[in-house]
Amino acid sequence: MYETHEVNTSCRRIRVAEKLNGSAVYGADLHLPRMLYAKGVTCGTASAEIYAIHTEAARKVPGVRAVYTAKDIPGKKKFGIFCKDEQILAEKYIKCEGDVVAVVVADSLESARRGAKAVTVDFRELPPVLTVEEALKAETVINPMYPDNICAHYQVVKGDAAAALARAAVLVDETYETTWVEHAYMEPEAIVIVPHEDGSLEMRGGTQNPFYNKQVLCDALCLPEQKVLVRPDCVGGSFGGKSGQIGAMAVRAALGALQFGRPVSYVLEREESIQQSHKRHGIRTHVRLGADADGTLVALEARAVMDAGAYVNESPIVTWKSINCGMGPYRIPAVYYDNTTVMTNNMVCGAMRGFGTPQAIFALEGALDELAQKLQLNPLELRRRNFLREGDRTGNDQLLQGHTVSIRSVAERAARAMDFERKFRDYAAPSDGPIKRGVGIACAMRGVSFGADSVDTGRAKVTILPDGRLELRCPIMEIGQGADTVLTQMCADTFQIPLSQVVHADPETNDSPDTGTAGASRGTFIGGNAILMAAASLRARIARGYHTDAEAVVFQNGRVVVQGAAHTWANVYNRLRRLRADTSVVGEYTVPMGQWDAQTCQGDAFISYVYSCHAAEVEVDTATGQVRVLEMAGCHDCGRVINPLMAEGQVTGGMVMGIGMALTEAVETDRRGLIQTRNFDTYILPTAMDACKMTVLFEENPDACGPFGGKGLGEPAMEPAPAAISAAVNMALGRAGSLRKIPATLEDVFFAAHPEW
Amino acid sequence: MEFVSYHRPKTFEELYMALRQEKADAVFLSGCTDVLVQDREKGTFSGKAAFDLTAIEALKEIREEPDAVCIGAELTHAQIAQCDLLRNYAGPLCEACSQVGAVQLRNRATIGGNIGNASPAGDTLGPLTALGATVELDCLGALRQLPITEVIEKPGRLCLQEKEFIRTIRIPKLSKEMRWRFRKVGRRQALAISRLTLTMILSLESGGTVETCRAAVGAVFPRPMRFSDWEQAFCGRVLNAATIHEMASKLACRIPEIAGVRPSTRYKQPVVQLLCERLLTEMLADAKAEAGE
Repeated sequence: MYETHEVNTSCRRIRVAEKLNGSAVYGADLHLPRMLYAKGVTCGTASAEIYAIHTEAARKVPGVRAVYTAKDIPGKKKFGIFCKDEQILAEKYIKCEGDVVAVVVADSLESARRGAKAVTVDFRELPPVLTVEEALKAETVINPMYPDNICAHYQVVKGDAAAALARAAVLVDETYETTWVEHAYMEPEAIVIVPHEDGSLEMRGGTQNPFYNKQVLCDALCLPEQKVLVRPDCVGGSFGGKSGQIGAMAVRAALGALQFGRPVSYVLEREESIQQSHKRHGIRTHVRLGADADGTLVALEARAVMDAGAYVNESPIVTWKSINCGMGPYRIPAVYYDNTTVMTNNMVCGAMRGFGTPQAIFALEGALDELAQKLQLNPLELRRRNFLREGDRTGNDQLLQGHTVSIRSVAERAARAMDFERKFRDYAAPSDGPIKRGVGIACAMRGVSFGADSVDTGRAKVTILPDGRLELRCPIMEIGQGADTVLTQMCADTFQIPLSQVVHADPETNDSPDTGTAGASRGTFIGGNAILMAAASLRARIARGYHTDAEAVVFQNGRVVVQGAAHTWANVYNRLRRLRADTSVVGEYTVPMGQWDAQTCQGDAFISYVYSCHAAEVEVDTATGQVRVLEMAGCHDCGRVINPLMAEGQVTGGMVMGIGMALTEAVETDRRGLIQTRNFDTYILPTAMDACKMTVLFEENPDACGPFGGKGLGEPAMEPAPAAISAAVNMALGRAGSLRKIPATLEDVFFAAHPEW
Repeated sequence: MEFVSYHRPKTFEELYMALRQEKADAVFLSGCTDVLVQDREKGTFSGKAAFDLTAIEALKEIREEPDAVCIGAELTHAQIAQCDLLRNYAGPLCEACSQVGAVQLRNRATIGGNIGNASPAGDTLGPLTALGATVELDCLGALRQLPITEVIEKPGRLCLQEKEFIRTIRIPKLSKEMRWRFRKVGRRQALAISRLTLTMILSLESGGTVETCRAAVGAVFPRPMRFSDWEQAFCGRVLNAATIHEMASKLACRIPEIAGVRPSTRYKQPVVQLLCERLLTEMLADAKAEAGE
């Protein structure tokens, strides 16, 4: 349909030079005239009733200008996507350690820090609810709107799984567990609020969801939409983390900006970021997986429990996605998948790359490996016997049609790239010595964009500039995934102009249409389709300008061809202006909805799917428990790859993130529910020396629904990695199911290898 | 960070003069790679006077004596790791220094700082202990020597007097017959705080009996320690699988005895035993290979 010149090329990333040479501007780089500094105050408790907040001493600290508490917020003091329960500033109760009770605004960061130390709070500690079991007793209710402490509960019900399992020839009945994971974006949260003379406010700095932040600012400060502008700077990573909390920070800083008419900078220290930002949920999944004697799966029953922490945040959709993308690319005739999410006084959990799927994949793939072991099949062979094909129905009973169901090929290619089956045979043979090797494999099937039960709309504004260049405003935030570059490539090919003729306007909330968050791996799909819609609108607009039909307008070779005559874009601009026609269009694309039963999660769950497979090889020193990942291979069918070099970067980054989640990363709390892993000396991330040889392959089956055939990669790039590595470790330990939790730490691996100790 | 004053003398005389005049407690700084971490967590340096030793060139010298090598406290881990003289005569120390943190850290952090930090997990402490190193201390020009096992009182605290700093480390040379191994166990391949380290030095008589055997376990005990009774118990015994097993388990038993039975003991004791067996077995195999067996 389109000749591609820019799509599917590894063109240079937007702003790559600035990001490499240090001239790119992030929130903490902003030094504006007369700028003040904000610092939040927390109380070091996970649950308490607040009696009084004493700010007098803080206000006397030299340099401190003001101290604000909840009573200073004129409008809505709480925010949230599903439930407005998150406190911008804690008022009567502290519900988790990260609750900020006051914000100090001062002339310098030092004074702000001293001021924050001088704030005292009278509170009565309440016994915190710190476990799922405790939460389910509902003796203490975290949020009265959820009297049973359950903030989300979804089920996939297809057929009668229990009955099918009772008849299964082979059954695995085990529980798999993951724990809290920190986003660890390289750049801690940093924003600046700039007040303008007309009473309007501008938010600068890093965010993943500018329109959501704007909404929170308007609601909290009683400002009309026209008075609030969010104009982000570069974002140093997000992975789902820089969303709601950024809006809360913005309001706190804005209180000072409005009172003093001066910009206020609010940058978190790493300890504050870890303490206050939301995390990846830990999920405990009890899996019962049954098969016939030849390995054909007959049923899956999974009962998962998640700890949402103190606020609802995005837990409901994480719950939903976890079950609907947790059944894997397998033909399973009967499914019962239940995920119950409870509230506690633990850290808030929300969006993090994968959104509930890395945990679900870990559980299902672990069960599949244990099943393979019982059947004496290699792990890949068991999966082969169950991979979905076109024309099959999923666990949602969705008929797979309209796109290539490529999981078989994807898995074979990943396995071959790592010589998986040969290594499996070799390493399964008994060997001497304490150094053991293992290989593991894991597959994933991820639905494109938000999915059923949500309305997913994207927008793109395209404007013809006087010089004939096209300005693109599609504010999917660039958070490291390359969204700006990819959208620009698709725009260039949509209009058949060179990349240099596309002006990518930095996202902001005044002139750019709301296209939703940079999440759900939706940027390419939603943004690209919105650009295509914009192109259709623009063709119609141009056609009217030339008194003809849209069919007679063709974008070709950098020109606009109208009824066979080629015009430059500059000429088209002039013609439209002469006719006083608008030279801007906004294209809007909404993912079409299909049939959906929300009670049983049966129907058209997603418009299409991305198929992925990761394979990993590890070496374990059983004398110490140390694990080294030697090699990984990944294959992904994300449709047409828009920028191959960046796509490869997504996958290698996802693999390293998987190494961390599989082996070392865990946010730890003490008996009072307070985070102990406060910085990266104790929260162990993989270093460059922990990465391994990584082979990245793409199986490109252009998707009919995707712009230029593209689907999405951000989360697929990571989601199967932890499961593949965990599987490899278990094999090195001699047995699938040796460890049914991640991270598999030094001690975990050692004791699994030495049950005698 | 709230130091009351900061000094960066170029000579010892300048240093002593500034120390005499300073009323606040002195803190000696060199690579400073742990300073910010400690300050953020504990505000350790509030009200103290900082004495930066990195400009005193005399503290960066390496001096060879007939029986020992003396290294200045301001030498970085990278410099030590790359020094041929030290590789020849103090191999375990070079190996440990080459594994500290990561490349950038090794270019800044110093051996004096590693000792001065008095962390049980300090990577140089195990090798220095096994090598029998002594530390030269300087208190306003008055010098004294302490064995490395007596320099640290407990985690985070040195047995130093007011205004006393670490000047040089004297390491008795390892003879050619002495084999050694150093092994560090951490949670990742770089920037890993040691979970434990094991340094072993072994020499055998021609009949295969133990002449000397020394071991130092790092990140396990509150202070660097040698176990002379353990070392002597194996002198003159033939080194074979059975002896190795006995030596390893007796060394590992020291952990609950001295460090107590903590949650980490459950992991560290068996790992020390297994690693000790492995290192001794490797060194024995090396010896046999050299003897042409």
